[in-house]
Amino acid sequence: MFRLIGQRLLAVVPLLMIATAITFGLIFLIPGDPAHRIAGESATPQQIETVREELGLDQPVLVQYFDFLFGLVRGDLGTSFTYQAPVLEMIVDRLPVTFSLAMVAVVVALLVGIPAGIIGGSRPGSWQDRATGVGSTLGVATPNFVLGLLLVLVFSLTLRVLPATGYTPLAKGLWPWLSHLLLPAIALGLAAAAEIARQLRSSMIEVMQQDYVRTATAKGLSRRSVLWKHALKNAFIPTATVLGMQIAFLLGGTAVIESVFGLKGLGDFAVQSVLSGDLPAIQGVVIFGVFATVIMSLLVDISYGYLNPRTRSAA
Amino acid sequence: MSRKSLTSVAAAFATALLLAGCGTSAATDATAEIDPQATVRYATTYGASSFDPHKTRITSDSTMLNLVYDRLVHRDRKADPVPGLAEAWEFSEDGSTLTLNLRQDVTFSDGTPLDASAVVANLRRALEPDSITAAMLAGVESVEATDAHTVVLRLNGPGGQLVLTLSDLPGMIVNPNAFGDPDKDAALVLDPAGAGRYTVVESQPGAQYRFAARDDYWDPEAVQAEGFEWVVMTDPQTRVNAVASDQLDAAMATPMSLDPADQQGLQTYVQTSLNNYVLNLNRTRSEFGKLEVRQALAHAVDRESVVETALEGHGEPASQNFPVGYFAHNEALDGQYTFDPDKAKQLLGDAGVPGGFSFVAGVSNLPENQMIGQILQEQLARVGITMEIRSMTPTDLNPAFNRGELDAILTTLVGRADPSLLLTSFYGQESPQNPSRDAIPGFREAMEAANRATDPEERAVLLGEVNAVVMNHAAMLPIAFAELGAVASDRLVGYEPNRVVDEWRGVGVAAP
Repeated sequence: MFRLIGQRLLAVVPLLMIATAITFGLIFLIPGDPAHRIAGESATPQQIETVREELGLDQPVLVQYFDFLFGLVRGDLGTSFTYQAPVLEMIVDRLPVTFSLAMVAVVVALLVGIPAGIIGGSRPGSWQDRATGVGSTLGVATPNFVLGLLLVLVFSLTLRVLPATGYTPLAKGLWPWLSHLLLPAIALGLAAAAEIARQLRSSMIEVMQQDYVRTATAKGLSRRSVLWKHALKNAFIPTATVLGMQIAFLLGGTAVIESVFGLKGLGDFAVQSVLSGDLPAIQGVVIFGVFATVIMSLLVDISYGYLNPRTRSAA
Repeated sequence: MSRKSLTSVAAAFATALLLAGCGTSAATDATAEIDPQATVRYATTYGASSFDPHKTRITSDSTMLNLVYDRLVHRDRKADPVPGLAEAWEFSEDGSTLTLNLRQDVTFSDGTPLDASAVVANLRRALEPDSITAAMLAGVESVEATDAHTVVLRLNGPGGQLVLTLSDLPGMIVNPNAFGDPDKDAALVLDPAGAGRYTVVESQPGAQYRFAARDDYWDPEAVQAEGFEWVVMTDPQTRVNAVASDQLDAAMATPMSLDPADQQGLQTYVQTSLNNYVLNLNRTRSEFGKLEVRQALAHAVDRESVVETALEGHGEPASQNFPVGYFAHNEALDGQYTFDPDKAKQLLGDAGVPGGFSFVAGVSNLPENQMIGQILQEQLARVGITMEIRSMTPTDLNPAFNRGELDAILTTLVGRADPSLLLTSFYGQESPQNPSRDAIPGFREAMEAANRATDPEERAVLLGEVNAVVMNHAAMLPIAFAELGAVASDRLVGYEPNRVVDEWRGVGVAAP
C-alpha cells in the first residue's frame, strides 16, 4: 500500500509542473492591461507604469515565471491585486466554508446515492428501480442553482426552518454549522447522488449476475449478506471513480451555490477574482484547485487498493 | 455680489451649518426604541480594497471607510456639506486660503488627540503624487497649522470645490502614528487607524467585516449600535433572501432588488442617486467627432423606456449629469434631448451619414448594464445606427476605453462628493478618463468660474452652466439615474439613503 502511495505521489510532480505553467500563463490569456486595471480608471500613464514596476509586470516573462514558481515552493501565492492581502491567507480564510460545504454535500450524495443505487441494482425493473431512475434523471437535469433557489423558497422563506444564507463555524455549535450548510449541500450534492446512483445501479446489476454471487446465494447466505458483504464491495469500485470525479465537479459547483447562499468560500472567491481581474487570486485558486483534485484522485486510487486487493499486488 | 460679501455669506453659512450639526447628525425613528447592544448586520456588493484612504486605488472604498474614518466635512442625505471634524470653514476674501476650525474633543481610536498637526500631516500625505487624492485636491498649494485647532489651506487655484471634496477620501483623517514608513503604510491597508465611530475587529478582505463601536466617540448620537457586521454579497436576490430570512437587518438595494424586496414584505429606503448610466463617447472615433451625430444619438434614445424596463421603474431619466433636486441640476436642460427618432434621422442627414453608421460599445457584464445595452442597441437601430456590443468586466471596461480601444462604453458614472470631481474627470481635456483629449469649447472657463465661487448658491448656478456647456456639446449621452439605498427588515432604525454614499450615522436595531 505504501508503495502504491509513493508511486502515485511521484507521478503527481510533473502534473503539478504543467499545471503551474498553465496557471502562470493565464496572465497572458486574460485581456486587458493588469497594471492599468489595478492602478484604477483615473490613473495617469505614469501611475500605471509605477504600478507595473511594483507588481513586477515589467520583468521578462521567464523572470516572472520563476518568481512565481519559487513563491509557490515557499508557500507564497502572491498578493491580491484587489485587496492587497496575501492570497494564501485569503484562501485559508475561505477554505473551511468550502470544505464544510463539500463534505456535507458528499455525505448527502452518498446517503442518497448509495441506497438508491443498491435498490435499483438489486431490484431491476421494479417500481422502486423506476422511481430511483426518475429521481436520478431529475437530479442530473436540474441545475443546482435552480434547486438551491427552490430550497430557499420552501425551507427558508416559507417554512422558515432553515437559514437562507451565511455560514457559522463548527466551533459555534454543531446545529448552527449544519443548519447553514444543509440547503446548499443538498443543492450541490443531489446531482452527484444521481450520478452515483446510476453508476452503482449498473455495477450492482452486473455484479449480481456473477458466478460467485450465484454460488453465495446457492450456499444459503442471506440476501443481505450477499448484497453487503460480497456484491457491494466489488460494485463500488467503478463508483469510487465516479465519486472522485463528482467531488471535483462539486468543487467547481461551489462557485454558483456559494453565491446563491451567500457563503464566503473559495468558489465565491474565484468568481469575484475573475470579475475583478485579480490575477494572483485567480492563479492561487487554480493552483489550489489542482492540488485538491490531485489529492482527491490519489485518495480514489488508494481506495482501489482497499476495495480490490489485486490492485495492491499489481502496484 | 462682491467677494467680501460672498465670504461673509460663506462664513454665515458655515456657522449655520455648525449650529445645525451640533450633536445630532442622523435622523432616528421617533417611534422605535433602539437596542444599544445590538449589532447591525448588513450586506454590501463590494468590500474595501484598502483601508488607507489616501493610497487606495478605488474611490468607492469610501463606503466602508466612512465607518472608521471621520472626514473634515460630512454630508447630509441630500449630499450637502455639514460639519465633521471641522466645525466651521471659511474662505479668505480673495479666495487664496481656506481655513478649517477643528473640533476640540476628538481622539483617534488609540486615544491620541486629533489636532491641527494631525490634519496637516494627513492633507500633506493626501497631496503626495502617488495618492489617489492628489488630483482631487488640485488647487491646494500648501497646508499649515496656525494653532492647535486651526488649519489653513493655501490655494494656488480655484477652491470652491474643496469643501465637498473634503467630505470624501481626501478629508479622511488617519492617525499619524499609523503612517510615515513603508511598513506602517502596508499595515494601514488592512488595519485602519482613524477617529471614526467604529473600529475594525475582524476583516476578511472581500468577504466579511466586523466593526465595534467606540465608547469615546465625540458624537454619541451617531453611534446607535454596538457593532456592524458587513458581508459582501454580489447577487441581489441573495441579499433580499438574507434580509427576508432574518440573517441580516439590511442590504444594499439596487434597482433589481427592489421589487423582490417588496414581494417579500421588506422595507425599502431609496432615493435617486447620483449614479448615472451613460454612453460615454470617444469623440475621435467612428462618427462621434460630429456634433450632429452625437445629438442624433441623444434624440434616438427613449430614456423613459430604459428606466421602466432595465431599472424596473426604479430610476429617473437623465437629461444631464445631475438629477432633479441636486444642487448642480440645471432645469433649463430638462427636455433638451427629447426622444425624437425623426429628428435623430434628420441630424444624421445633416452630418452626412443619412444611412447611419456603426460603432463598437463596451458594455459592463452587470445585468442592468447588459439590459440597457440591448435596449440602446434596438433603439439606435431604428434610426440606422448599428451598435455592436462587446461585453467586458467592469474593471476592464474603463481602462480599455481610456486607452482608446473602444468607440464608446456604456458605463455607470458613480456619484462623487463634489460635482467638479465628476466633471473634470470626464470632460477635462487632460483627464485620463477622457480619451477624446478634446477641449470642449467653454468648459475650462466655466469650470474655473464654478470653482472660484465659494457661495453655495452662486456655485450651484455656475455648475449648472458647466453642465449646459457639456450637454450642448453632447459630449456624453446620459441615460438614467439609479435609485439606490437599502432593503431592510422593520427592525432597522434611523437609516436614510444618501445620494452619494450612505453615512450610517445614528443607525441601529429596534429593541425587541
